[in-house]
Amino acid sequence: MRADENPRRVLRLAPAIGPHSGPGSAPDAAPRTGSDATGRADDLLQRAGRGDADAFATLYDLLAPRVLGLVRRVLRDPAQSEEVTQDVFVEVWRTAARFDPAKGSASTWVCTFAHRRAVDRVRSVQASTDRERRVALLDYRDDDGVDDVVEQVEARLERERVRRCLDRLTGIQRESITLAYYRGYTYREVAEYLKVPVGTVKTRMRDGLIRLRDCLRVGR
Amino acid sequence: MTPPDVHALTGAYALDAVDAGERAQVEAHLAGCEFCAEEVAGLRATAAALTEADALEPPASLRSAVLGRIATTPQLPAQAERPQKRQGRPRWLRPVTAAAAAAVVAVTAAGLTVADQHRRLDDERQRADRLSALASVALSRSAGMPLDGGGSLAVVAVADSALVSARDLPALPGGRVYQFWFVGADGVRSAGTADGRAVAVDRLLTGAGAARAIAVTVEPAGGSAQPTTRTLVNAPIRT
Repeated sequence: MRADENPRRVLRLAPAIGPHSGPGSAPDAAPRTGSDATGRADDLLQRAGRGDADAFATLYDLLAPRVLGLVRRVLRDPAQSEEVTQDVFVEVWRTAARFDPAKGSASTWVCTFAHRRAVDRVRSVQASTDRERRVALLDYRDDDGVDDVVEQVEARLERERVRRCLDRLTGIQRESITLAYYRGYTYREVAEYLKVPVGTVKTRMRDGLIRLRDCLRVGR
Repeated sequence: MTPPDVHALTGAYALDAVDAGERAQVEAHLAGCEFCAEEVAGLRATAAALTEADALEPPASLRSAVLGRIATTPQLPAQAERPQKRQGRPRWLRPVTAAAAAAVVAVTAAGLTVADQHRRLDDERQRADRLSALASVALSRSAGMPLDGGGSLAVVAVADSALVSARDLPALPGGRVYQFWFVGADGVRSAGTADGRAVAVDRLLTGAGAARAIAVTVEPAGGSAQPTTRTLVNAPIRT
């Protein structure tokens, strides 16, 4: 099976709400949601860094759904995902005093850390050798595993917005980003999987993210 | 001083799609390249924003496990940052690193530092990206011409440049690419290739010259000097 026979398969988000807006749709006019939550998370994390456990608990409530959702997408296994999520938040607590809002938001800080943990785990678990890893890559093709996720929380607008912006990327941009972010592939593995040169994948990851950034209107 | 590769890796790094060696290499570079650090911060935030689409309600047991553990977990002090790391002060107040100091020495006639120029270039690049994205969106809404075999191509040309927007392209077998051609009285010239697996292609083609149409063919990877297969579409750009 070629990777491109079903280009939407790579990113199988939850069922779409409303009419499908394809690559040719108008720029996203909806205001960026969640920016209040962003400022709130920054404040909570800073308070947690000063030892405020209540602030930390509120921060957990705010970010745990995103962290668990992300880790689960990468790892797939529910038990392992909860274990990693738990470790992530304990580590967030431990290092909270080192959070610097001038360098990025609390949610980015936490999600970046969670993603790295999940990716490190998936790489070490799934591949003790290159060969096994290759087999693991092949296995991934036919099992998406995300569909059985039913406990989606309130994230429909965000989901729509993200999907719309991903739809606006070129096929290679979208696949490079989703294979890396949701599957933990390195750019070399993405290149091998998509059968395109590694230089192309590096470039597409960068310009794809830049296009996404502009579409999602991400601050930092 | 900087391996030329490092900057090309910012996207892959932001997605954690690099190996441990490259990760260290990029991080060493970021410590001395404020421009790169800014870019990575933005790309990271973008990647993190993707998680908004995948939130899952965590079980209550997870919450109590986390809160139970932090009750007995000591916190690290706010770190004395490693000296080469930039501080959380506004950009213009940050201490000048060795690399930036070198940049400051290279002040141009206009009084801009190299870092300023990088930033301006990046702003310009972003502006250009946005403009061409807008133009592509506008263009892709026009009907376009059907390609033989599937997909459509819309074209608009101004002076020496042509913006093409291809949609719903069928995936080509491995080792094949789509190739664009300028077609005019002076002959047929290559206008570049596009990945055979791209579903949609938006491209600014320059050097149209006297070309009167843009054609598309399927060619071997790397493209051909002249078309070697039948023309899928021949879209006029001059009337």
